[in-house]
Amino acid sequence: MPSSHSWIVCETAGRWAAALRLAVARWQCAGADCVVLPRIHEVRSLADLEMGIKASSNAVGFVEVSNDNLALILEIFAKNARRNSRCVALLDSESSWQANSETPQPVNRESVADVLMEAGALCVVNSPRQIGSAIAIVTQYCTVRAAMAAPDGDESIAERAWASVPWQDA
Amino acid sequence: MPRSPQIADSLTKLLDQSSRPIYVVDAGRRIVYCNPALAAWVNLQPKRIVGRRVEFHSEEPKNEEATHGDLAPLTDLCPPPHALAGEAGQGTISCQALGGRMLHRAAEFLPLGRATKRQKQSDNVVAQEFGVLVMLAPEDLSPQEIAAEVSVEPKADELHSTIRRFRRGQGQRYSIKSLLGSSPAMQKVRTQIEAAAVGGANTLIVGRRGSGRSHIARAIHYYGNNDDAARLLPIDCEVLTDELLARTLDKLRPSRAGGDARQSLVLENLECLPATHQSLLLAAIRQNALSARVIATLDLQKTNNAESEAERTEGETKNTAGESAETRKNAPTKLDPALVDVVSTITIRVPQLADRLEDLPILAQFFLEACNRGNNKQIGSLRSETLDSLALYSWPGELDQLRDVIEAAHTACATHAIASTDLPPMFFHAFRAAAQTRRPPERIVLDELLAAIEKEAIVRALAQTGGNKSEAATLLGMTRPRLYRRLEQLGLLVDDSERVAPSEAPEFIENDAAE
Repeated sequence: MPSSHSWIVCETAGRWAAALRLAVARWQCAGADCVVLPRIHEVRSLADLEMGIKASSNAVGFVEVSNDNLALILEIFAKNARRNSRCVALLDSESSWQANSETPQPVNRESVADVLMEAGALCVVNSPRQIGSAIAIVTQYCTVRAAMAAPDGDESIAERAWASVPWQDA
Repeated sequence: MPRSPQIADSLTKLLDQSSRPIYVVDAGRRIVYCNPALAAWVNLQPKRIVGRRVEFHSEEPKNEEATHGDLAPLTDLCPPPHALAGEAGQGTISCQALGGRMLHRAAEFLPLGRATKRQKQSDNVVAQEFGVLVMLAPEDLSPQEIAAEVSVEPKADELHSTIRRFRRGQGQRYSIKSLLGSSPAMQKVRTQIEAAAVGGANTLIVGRRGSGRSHIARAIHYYGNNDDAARLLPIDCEVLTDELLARTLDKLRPSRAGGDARQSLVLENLECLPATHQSLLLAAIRQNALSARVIATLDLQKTNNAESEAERTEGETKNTAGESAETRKNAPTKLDPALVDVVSTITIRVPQLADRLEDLPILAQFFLEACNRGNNKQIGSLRSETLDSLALYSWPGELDQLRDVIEAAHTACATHAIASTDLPPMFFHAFRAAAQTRRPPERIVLDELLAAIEKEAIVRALAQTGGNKSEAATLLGMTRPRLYRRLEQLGLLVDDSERVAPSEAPEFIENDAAE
C-alpha cells in the first residue's frame, strides 16, 4: 500500500520545486512502483525546513545550497543525519564556487558536493534538470524508513493469523 | 657572491629578536626558518616547526603526539597559493590555540626568488617554485576586524575556512571521547577504534541498527586523518544506485601522481548491498582501484535472515519460469563471503545496549542533557526508579530508541527529574510485561487452526456477498464447485434434509435466487 511522504523544498525562487514536481509526475507516469506518494511543499527559510522535518517522521528535505548558507547547512545536515533524518542538497548553479587551480586541493563545486555528502546529504543534485536522478534514491530511502517504522508484532502465531483474515467488518 | 656566516648569523639574530612572528617557507613548501615569536604564537617548539611541510587545505591539524612520531603537515601556516606562485600580498594566517580557540593575525607575504625565463614564457607557471617570507602582525585580530575582512564575494580561502571549520566540528563530534560508557565492552570498542584508525586497515563494524555503528565509523575516520585532505565518502547501501556507485568509485581512483590523501569509504548497511554492486566493489578493492580504506557497517542478524530467505527463494524460483527483473531486484541477496573478508581486516562488534546496562545511566543522562540544549525546560536527572525501569527493557532499537524514549520523557516531565510515569506508555507496558513471568512456548494444532481460519474466511466472504456463493468463490479465489465441497466438508452446507452444525456459522440456502 502506498505511503504518503512530505518532501519539503527550501529555496529562494521556486525553480527547484517546479522541476521536482515535473520529475515526479514523469516518474510516476513511466510506471514506476508507486510505493511512495510524495507531497511536495515549498518553504523559504531553513528554520521552516527544520520545523517541517521535525513535524513529520516521513519528511525529506531538499535544500538549495549557496555560498551564504553552506556553513549552516553543513551543521543542519550533520545534526539531522545523526537523527536518521536526511536531506538532498541542491547546489545552486548561480553561486560561484570558486576554483583555485593552484591549490593542491582546489575548492570547487565537486569538493563542496563531497563535504555535503560527508555531512550526511542523501545525495547532491547539480541542476534542476538532473533532479530526476535523485528521485530513485529518495523514494528508496522513504521506503526503507517506512518499513523501519512498522511496529514489530508481539502477537502469537494464532493472533497474527486471525488478524490477517480479511473482511473484518463483515 | 656567497654571504659570510657572520652576516647570516646577524640576520638570524635580528629576525629572532623581532616581536612579530616571522617564518620562511621554501619552494618545496617546507618551513626552513621560524623565529621565537612564531613558536610562541603557535605554541610549538621551533624544532617541531622547522622542517615541516605546509599545505593549503581545510583539514584538522592533528596533535603531533597522535601521529606517533610522524610530523603531519602544518595546514595553519601555509601561505596562500598566490604567494607561493610569486605574488606578494597580504592576508590572514590562523592557528588553533590551546583550548581549541582560533587565533588570527594579519600577514604579509613576500615571495623569495626570481621567476625563471621558462616560467615567464609559460602560461602554466609551476606553483610552489618560490619561497615565501611570512611576517605576521604583532597582535591578534579582534572579532570586529575579522568580521570586517569578510567581503561579499566568497574567496577560495573563505570556502576553505567553512569546510575546515565543519570538519573540525565533525572531528570533535565524533571523537573517541564521544563514545560513552565504561563497560568492558565499550572499552574494547574504543581500543579497537584506535587500532583501526592508526593502522588504516579496512574495518567491519558489526551491530544492530541504532547501536552507533555509523558513529563508530566516523570516529575511526576523524581520528585517523592526520595528514592530507582526508575525505569521508559515505554510501548508504540501502539506497545505492548504479550511478552513485560508479561516481564514488571514480572519485576514489588513485591519481597518477600518487600521494593520495587518506580517505575513507564508509559503506553503511552492507547487508543491503545488491549482488551486482558487491561484485563491482570487490573487484575494485582487489585491484587496488580505491585510494581509500573501507569502513563498513553490518547488521549480522539481518544478514543471516537474508541468507535463509535467499536460499528459500532460490528453491522456489527455480520452479518458476519467466522470472521478472523486478523479482530479481527485490529478492534478498546473500553477502559475498569474499567481500566480507576484504573489508574485515579489523572487526569491531558493537555491544547491544541490553548487554551493557552499566552504561545506561550515563547514556540516558547524555540524551537528557541534549534535550535541555536550546530548550526552556531544563531537567536535571532521571530518578533511580526510572533507571531501574529502563534496565528492564530489551532495547531492540538500541541507542536510537533510548534517545527517543528520553526525548518523549523530557517532553512529558513536569518536574526536575524524570519519573517512570513520564516514560512513553508503550514502553511502560512493554517493560512491565517483560518483568512478568514468561508465557510457556506457544503450541498449536496446525490442522485445527487452519480449518478454523478457513471456515471463518468462508463465513465472512459469504456474509460479504449476501450469501451469493459465486461471488464468494471469486472473493476467495476458488471455483464454485470447490467452494461447495469446502462448505460440505466444514459442515456449513445446509439443504432441505440437513441441519447445520450447532456452531456460530449462519445457515445458507443451497439454491440461491441470484445464481
